[in-house]
Amino acid sequence: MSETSYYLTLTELTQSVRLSTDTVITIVDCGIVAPRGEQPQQWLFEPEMVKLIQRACRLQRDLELDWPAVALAMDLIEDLQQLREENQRLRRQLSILMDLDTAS
Amino acid sequence: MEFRDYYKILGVDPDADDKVIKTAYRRLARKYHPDVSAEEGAEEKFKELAEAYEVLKDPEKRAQYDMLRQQGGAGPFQPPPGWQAGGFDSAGGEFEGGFSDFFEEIFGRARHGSRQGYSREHYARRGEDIELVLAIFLEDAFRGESRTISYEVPGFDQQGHLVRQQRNLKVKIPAGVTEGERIRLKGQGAPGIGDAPAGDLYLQIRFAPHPLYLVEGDTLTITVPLAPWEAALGCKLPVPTLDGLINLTVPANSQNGKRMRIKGKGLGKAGKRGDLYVVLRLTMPAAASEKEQALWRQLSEESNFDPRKNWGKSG
Repeated sequence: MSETSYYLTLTELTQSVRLSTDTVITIVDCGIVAPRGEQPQQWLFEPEMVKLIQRACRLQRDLELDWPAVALAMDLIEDLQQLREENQRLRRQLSILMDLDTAS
Repeated sequence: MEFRDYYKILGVDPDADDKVIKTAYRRLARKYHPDVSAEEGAEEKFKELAEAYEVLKDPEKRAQYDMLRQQGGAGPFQPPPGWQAGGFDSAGGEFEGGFSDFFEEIFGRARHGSRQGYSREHYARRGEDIELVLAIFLEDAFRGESRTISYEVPGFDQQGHLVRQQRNLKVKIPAGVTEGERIRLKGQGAPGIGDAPAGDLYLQIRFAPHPLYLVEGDTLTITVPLAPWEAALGCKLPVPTLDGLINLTVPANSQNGKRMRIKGKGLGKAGKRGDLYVVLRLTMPAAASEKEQALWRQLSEESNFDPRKNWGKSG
């Protein structure tokens, strides 16, 4: 049986996403992710944050953005995703309630 | 191999200057970037753009490309005899697949690439992380079941060639996981090269659609169909929850769509369970017998209920 380990340390994270410590610190300073812990050496990242950091790096590189702009884009993408999901959920709920899918 | 017209891909003239190329790339990249775009085929489209820009933004590569373009142009492409494709350093290529064969024929392979041919002695590098989507049933998420998953990991054989190996792993799903949560299995990703550690395996939890419950985070919603008289008179009925049946009291004169909260019967870890919502849905019988019709008629004569009283009087 394989054990799940939850948090990643800063070292594990930089190895995993192949980024320098400085870049990760910049990303955290911009508020793109908020690890637990005060000092970088105590930081603990949730698995979800790995994905967010990778996305941030792609946006920064591919769209030639500076980091605050990346942070803004990330916030907007997150909002959009939540709205899409909510919309989908409400549509499903509505179709159950109103019988939209079986209406003749 | 098909010749790729990078100017056409970026929608610029062949004599466009750097500024025009940069603007065109940025505009299209915003539109088709897979992290931003919801359009179909966005990732493919973006890869083309990135490749075109990689060449056209670099004066040296652009000059090489222009030369070939003038010689060959459209149609099938063969590099001229004696063409030397040099390696290059690239920050890109993070998306699956990297650049096209056409690109590699001209400019060679990216040096950082993890393609075949690296032998173990050359360097040490941590293995790639692997991400899988794990579809599970709501009940399994709630109780925390064990599942055996199979996936492929890239590895290297004796000759240093890239091979794919099947791996089976028994995983305990932590009780109370929610949709979209990522589970990290340390060291279960691709093996490292040299002395470097293996990558991690990430499992992204997806719930298989449930016939009864809608899921929103740790909140569950169940729709309960009711006969009109059940809603009118009120009733007690058994409602299925993750912990078994519970008796729900529907108050008299309940409206269609009424939501009732059952505390702590949603998803989540013990002690931090979300809630279960019951939504009432009034359902008409498909057909009424003569006797039933008579009863409805009797009710309609008896009742002074006007469902459209808010419309006001017209005419």
